[in-house]
Amino acid sequence: MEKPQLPKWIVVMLRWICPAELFEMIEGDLIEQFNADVQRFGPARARRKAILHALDFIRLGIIARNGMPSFNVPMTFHFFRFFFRGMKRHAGYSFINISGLALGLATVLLMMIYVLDEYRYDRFYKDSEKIFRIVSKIDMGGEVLHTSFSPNALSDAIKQDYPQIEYVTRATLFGMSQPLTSDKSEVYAQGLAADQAFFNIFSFTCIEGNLATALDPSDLSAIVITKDLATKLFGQYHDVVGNTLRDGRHIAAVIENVPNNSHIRFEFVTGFMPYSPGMAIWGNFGSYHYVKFKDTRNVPEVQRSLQTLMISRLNADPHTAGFKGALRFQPLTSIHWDDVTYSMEPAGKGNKQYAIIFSVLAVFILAIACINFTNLATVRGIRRAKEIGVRKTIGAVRFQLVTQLLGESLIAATIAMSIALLIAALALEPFNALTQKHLAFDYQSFGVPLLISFGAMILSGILSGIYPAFVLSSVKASSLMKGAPSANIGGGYLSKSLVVLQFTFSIMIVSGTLVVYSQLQYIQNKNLGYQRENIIRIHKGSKKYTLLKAALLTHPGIKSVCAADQNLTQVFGAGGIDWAGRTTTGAVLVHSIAVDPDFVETMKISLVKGRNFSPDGNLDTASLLANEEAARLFAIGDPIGLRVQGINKGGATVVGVVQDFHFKSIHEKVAPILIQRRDNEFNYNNIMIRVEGDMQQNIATIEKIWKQFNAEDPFLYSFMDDDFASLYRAEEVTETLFKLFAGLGIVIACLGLFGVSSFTLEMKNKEYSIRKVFGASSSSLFYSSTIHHLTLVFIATIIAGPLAYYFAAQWLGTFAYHTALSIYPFVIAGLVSIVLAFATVAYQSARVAVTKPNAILRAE
Amino acid sequence: MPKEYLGEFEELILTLVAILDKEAYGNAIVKEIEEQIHRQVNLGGVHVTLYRLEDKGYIKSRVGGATSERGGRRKRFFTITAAGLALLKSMKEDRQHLWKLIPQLK
Repeated sequence: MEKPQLPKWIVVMLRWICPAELFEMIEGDLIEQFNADVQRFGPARARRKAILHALDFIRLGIIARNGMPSFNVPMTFHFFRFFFRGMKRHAGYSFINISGLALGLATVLLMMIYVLDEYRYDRFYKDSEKIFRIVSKIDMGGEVLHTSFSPNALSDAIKQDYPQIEYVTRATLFGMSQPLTSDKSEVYAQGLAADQAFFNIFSFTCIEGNLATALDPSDLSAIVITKDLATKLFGQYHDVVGNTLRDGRHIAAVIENVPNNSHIRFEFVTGFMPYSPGMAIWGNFGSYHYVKFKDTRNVPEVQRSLQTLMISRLNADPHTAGFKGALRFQPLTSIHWDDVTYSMEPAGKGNKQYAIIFSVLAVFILAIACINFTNLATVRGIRRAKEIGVRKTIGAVRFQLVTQLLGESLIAATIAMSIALLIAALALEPFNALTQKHLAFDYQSFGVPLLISFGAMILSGILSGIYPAFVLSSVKASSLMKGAPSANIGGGYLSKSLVVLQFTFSIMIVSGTLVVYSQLQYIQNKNLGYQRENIIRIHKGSKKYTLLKAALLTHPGIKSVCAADQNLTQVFGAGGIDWAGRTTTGAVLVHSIAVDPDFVETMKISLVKGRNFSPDGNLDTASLLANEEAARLFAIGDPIGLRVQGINKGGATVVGVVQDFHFKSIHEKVAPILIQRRDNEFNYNNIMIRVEGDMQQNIATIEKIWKQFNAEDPFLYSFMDDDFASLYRAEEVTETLFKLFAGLGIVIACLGLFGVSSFTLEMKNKEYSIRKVFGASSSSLFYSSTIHHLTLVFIATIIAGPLAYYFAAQWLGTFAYHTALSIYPFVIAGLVSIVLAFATVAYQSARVAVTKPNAILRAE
Repeated sequence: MPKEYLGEFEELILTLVAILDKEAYGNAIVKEIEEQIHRQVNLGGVHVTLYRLEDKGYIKSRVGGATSERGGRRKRFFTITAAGLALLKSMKEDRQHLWKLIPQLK
C-alpha cells in the first residue's frame, strides 16, 4: 500500500511563503505530524488536519521572514539611487513618461469629478427615490410639447383620492429676482412659492424656526429664507426668525443653502396662494407638482389612474375636449439627466449624452497615456538589459529583479499621480468656470475619482513594469550581457499595436473636435430668420412703455424699439386654435408671441406676404401674423384674411405671413407660431432695443432713460446674441473640452511615438550602419526608417475614420438642423496625425541616416 | 538596559525549550505541551514564536537529525541560551515576589 502523502499543493504553497532556510524544517514538522495523525485518525482526517496546519503558517511572522533585499536599508538606498540615476540619465524619457501619465490621470480625475457631480444631482435629498415630479406631454396636433408644468387641478385631486401619495406640493419659481428689504439692506433674490408639504418632500436642514409649520396656508406672509440670504439681509443667520421685511412678510424659518446640485434652486420660499376656482382646472398647465410616494410600487397604477382622470375631465370641458396628452411621474433623480428636455425646467438641465461622451474621451486619454507609459517603460527596461545581466551575474535572484523593475515603474506612476493631483487642483478653478460648476477640492467631490485614478495609477505602474520585469528577468544573463537583445524581445507586435491603438484614439478625438467645431460654426452662422446682433433686451416690462419708447428713439444710437411678452430665443406659450376650413380633427395648439408693431422691423424678420400690424395709435388686436410653418399648417391656398379662433377674444384675422424664424433651440425644428397684439403692452416682459455704434454709451443712455421712467425697477438687461449663445452652452463646453482632449491626446501619442521610434532606431543602429557601409544612401535609410513608423499611423487613420464617422453622425442626428457631415474632418484628422508623427520620427530618422557608420560600428 | 518582557505564550515556549533541553523542535514542543498541561497549540504558532525568541537571542538553533518519519527532512533543534535562562529566572523571581504580596494567599 502506498504511504499517504501530504497534499502536494500545500507543500508548493509553503515553499512559496516560507523562507528557504526554514522551509525544510517546517515541512519536516508537518510530515511528522501528518504521519502521526494518519496513525491516530486515518488518512482522510489527517489530510484535513495537515491542510489546516499548513494554512496556519500563512502568518506575518513567517512571510515577513523572507529576506527581502529591498527591505534592508543599504539595498533600499541602492534601489532609490538607481532609480534616480536612471531618471537623470534618461531625463527626456522620464519626463515624457511621467508627464504623459500625469496629464492623462489629471484629465480623468477632472472628468470623473464632473460626471460624478452630474450624477449626484438631487440624490442628496432624503428618500430621493420616492420623490417624483409630474410632467406633461401635450400633443399640439403636429408638434409635441413636453413641459415640466402640470395641470393646476392635480394637487386637489391627489389630496382627495390618492392615499398612495404621502405628500404633494405645488411649486412655481418667480421668473425674476425679487427685491427683499430688511431694516438693514435690500437684496434681490430668487424665490419659490410652494405648499407646506414642500418641506416634507425635500429634506432641507432647518437652522432656525419650524419647517413643519413654516408655510402654513393660513399665513401667506410667512417666508423661509436660506442661510446666505439671511446673512445678506440681517448680517447674521441666527435670531432672525420673527423679523419682518418692509413689505410685511415675516421670516418663519432659516434653512441651509440649497446645494448646487439640486435641480431646483432658490433663496427663499413663500406660501403658494390657493387657486381661485377658475384657475384650478385641468386645462391650465400652470405649476410644478412634486409628490412623495409611500411605496414606489404604486407609481404606475397612480400614473394610469390620474391620466384617465385628466382625460375625462378635459373632455368634459368644451374648451379642452379632444385634448391629447399624457402625464408622467418623473423620478426626482432622473430629472437632471432625462433624455427629454422639458420646457419650464427650473435650472440648467444636464446632458447625459455629453456626460457619456466626456467619460469616453477621458478613458481614451487615459488609455493613450497608459499605453505610452507602458511602451516607454518597456523600452527603457530593454535598454537596461546589460544592467540586468550584470545584476544577475553577481547574484541577484529573479525576485529581486522583478521587485526592482516593478517598483521603479510604480514609483514613476506615483510621481505622475502626485503631479496629476497638483494639475487637477490648479485646473479646478478654470474648469469650474468652463462647466459652470462649483466643485471644491474636498473629499466629497474628489474622494471616489481619486480612488479610481489611484487604481489606474497602480494598474499602469504594474502593467508597464510587468514586461521588463518578467521577460528580462527570465532571459539568461549571458544573452543579456551580449548587448542589445534580439529584436523580438522588444515586444515588436505588442508595442506596434499599442501605438496603432493610441493613434486610433487620437484621430477619433481630433476628428470629433472638428465635427463639433463645424456644427457650432453652423449654429452661430445659421440664419435664424431674425438678426440677433446689436439687440439689447431688457428683462422687464415698463408701465410707461409708450413714453419710454418715445424717449429712447430720440437718441441717435437707438434704431428701433419693440416689446414682446416672451423671450424670442425661447418661446414657450401655446394655445389651442381653430380656423375656418380646417380639415383635421382634434385640438391644435400653436405657439404664440405677443408683440408691438415694431417687432418685425426691430428683429429684421422679413415679411413674405401681406402687411405688418398697423402702426400704433390703432390697437390692431384683431390682426395676426403667421410664420410660413403656420401657413402650411392652415393648409389653405392663401392664408391672408383667414379668421383664426382661440387667439385673442373673438379671434383674429391673418394679415401677413413672415419668414420662418427660430424661436427655440436648433435641436428642435421650427414650429408654427402666430404673432399677435394684445391691449396690455406695458405688461410685456421683454423690451428689445436695436442699437448702433458705441455699445457702452448706448447701454448708459438706455439705463438713464429707464431709471427716468421706472425708478422702482432694476435695470436688468442682456444681449440677444448672448441669450442665443446660452442655449448652446452645453455644445460650447463640449467643443472646448474636445479641443483640450484633442490637443492632449495627440501630444501624448506623439510623445509616445517619439520614445518608441527613438528606441527602435537605436536598436537598429548597427543594421543601418552596415547597410550604409554596403552603399545604402542616407535618403533611402531615412525613407525606410520613417515609413516604418508612419505605416502605423496610417493604419490607425483607416481604423479611426469610419468609427469616428459613425459617432459623429449619431451626435449630429440630435440636432434638427445640422451641418452636412463630410469626410473632410476625418481626412484632416488623419493627415494632421500623419504630419505630426512624421515630424516626430523625422528627426530621429535623419540622425540615424546621417551618422557616420564607423562611429557606431567601432564600438564593437 | 530596560527590563525585557515576554508574552505568556513566548514564556511557555521558552520554558518548553529549556525543559526539552537538546531535543526541542516544533513537533516535540507541541506534543510536550499537550502531555504536560493538556493544552492544544498550533504548530504554526509555535514556529513563529520560536523564530521570534531566536531573534531576541533567548534561544539558538542548529540543524540536524533527519529521520524517516519526517520523509528525510531535517529537524531544527532549539536550545536555550544563557540570556534566555537568565530571563526565565528573573521572571520567576518577579512572579514569586508578587505572589508573596497577595493577602489571600498568606
